[in-house]
Amino acid sequence: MKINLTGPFLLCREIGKQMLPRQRGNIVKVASIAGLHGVIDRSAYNASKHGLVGLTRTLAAEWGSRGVRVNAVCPGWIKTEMDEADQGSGAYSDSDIINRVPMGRFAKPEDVARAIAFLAHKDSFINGVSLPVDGGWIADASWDALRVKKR
Amino acid sequence: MRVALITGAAQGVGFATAKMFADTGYHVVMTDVQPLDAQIAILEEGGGSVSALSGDISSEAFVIELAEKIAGEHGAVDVLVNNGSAS
Repeated sequence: MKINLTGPFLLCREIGKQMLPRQRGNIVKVASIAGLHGVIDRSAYNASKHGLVGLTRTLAAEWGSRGVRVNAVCPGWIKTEMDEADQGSGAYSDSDIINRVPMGRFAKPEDVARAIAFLAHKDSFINGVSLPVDGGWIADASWDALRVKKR
Repeated sequence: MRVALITGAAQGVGFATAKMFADTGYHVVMTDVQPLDAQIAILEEGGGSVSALSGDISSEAFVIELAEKIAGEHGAVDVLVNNGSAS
């Protein structure tokens, strides 16, 4: 909770002090689809990511009129060192994730980086959104067997 | 030069984002609990303008130190990417 939510709060407060007087700035938080939906056995992580989504909306509302936009990206499962640690603990397998995602693969770090760059564009009118970068995960309420059958 | 501050920049999404901003002409300030010498070398080899300060973003003292360092060296941050995370 300290790293995932207190850290971003402190950074927004201190960096916001630089942005607000200039009436210019742009903040993108990396939340998660776990900030938009529940995931079993991850209550602390999920609470921290839901907190980031709430912080994003609140700061967007407070700071939008002062030239500072605040948005978030909500990635699905990404192939990173963190994923390797989770898989090492037996939490899930590759097929658990791939079968759940309509696009049939993990996110790549570059997928998320591109979405961050999109939200950070200096001329954007987007403010206060938490953008899923999940290959369609949260759009899809189908059961897994149906999704896999359609491939 | 516009300045982007990326937390959790040692690997994964943070490093990919740092590379993307460095490639598009930003000065990138990276931070992470891990040392960032190797990441600086990679981005500088690609022509990027980068700097780094390692530390714990959940520490108020570190965050203030980081913000003051950037203010002193660059004036202000244009883009803040809050990526640093624990599972």
